[in-house]
Amino acid sequence: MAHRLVAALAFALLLTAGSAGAADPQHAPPTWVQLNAQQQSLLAPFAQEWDTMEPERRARLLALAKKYPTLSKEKQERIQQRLHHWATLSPEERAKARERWKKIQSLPPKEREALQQKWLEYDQLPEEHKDQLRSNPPQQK
Amino acid sequence: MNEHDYGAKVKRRLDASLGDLAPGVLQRLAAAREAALARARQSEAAQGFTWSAAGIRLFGDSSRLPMSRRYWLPAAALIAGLAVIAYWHEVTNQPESEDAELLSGELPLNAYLDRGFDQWLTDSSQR
Repeated sequence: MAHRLVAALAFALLLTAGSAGAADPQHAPPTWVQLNAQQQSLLAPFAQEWDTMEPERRARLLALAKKYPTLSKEKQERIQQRLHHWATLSPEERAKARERWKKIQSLPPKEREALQQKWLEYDQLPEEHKDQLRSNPPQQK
Repeated sequence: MNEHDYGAKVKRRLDASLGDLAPGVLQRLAAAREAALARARQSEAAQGFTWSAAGIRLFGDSSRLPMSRRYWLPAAALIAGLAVIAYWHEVTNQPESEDAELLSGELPLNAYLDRGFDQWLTDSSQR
């Protein structure tokens, strides 16, 4: 009796999963050749690894490609420039960037502007000075 | 001799020797037959409907369902499976991509990753 119920539930799960994929094919992670020309053009830095990428990562990039046409020209250019760098980051680095971005987004607008100003100032520092700062990172809070 | 003829011959031999069996043996055979029939009837009543397409009997008599771990485990697996599907739909249907916001923002990626910037912010806040 029990093993029949186990088998039945497992079968039901397979049917559910199968039908979800079959009924909603656009939500299954597409392969590189299934992307349209616009998506392939934007996501070109990920072309080599796309088909072996985790579904969650592909979903994020597809969401990005979906959002892209709705952004201003300036923002589109920033994305194009930064995607090459983004593609080279490790999962930990991407997670760190997202976490810090969220923290910064939660700051009041004035503090966010101040932070942008700080970055510009830091970016102007001599490379040796930056290296010195990098070798002495702050303690994790 | 085919299978049918052989079967008939065996039956004749058994029927002929039936009278030779001791009354106690006949009684035990009759009791065993009754017990087997009773078990078969009970099993049929408990099996409820049959999911013929799958060939799997899904539910028995609901009053007989024991609430053991053997039942909770597949139920939990089913729920977990549905949760994964729901999560996937959630991720793919997300209209706003936070990565789009992050990558198109004022700050470059290095501002989020450069440890030197963290140190510099700490130093300048202490000055």
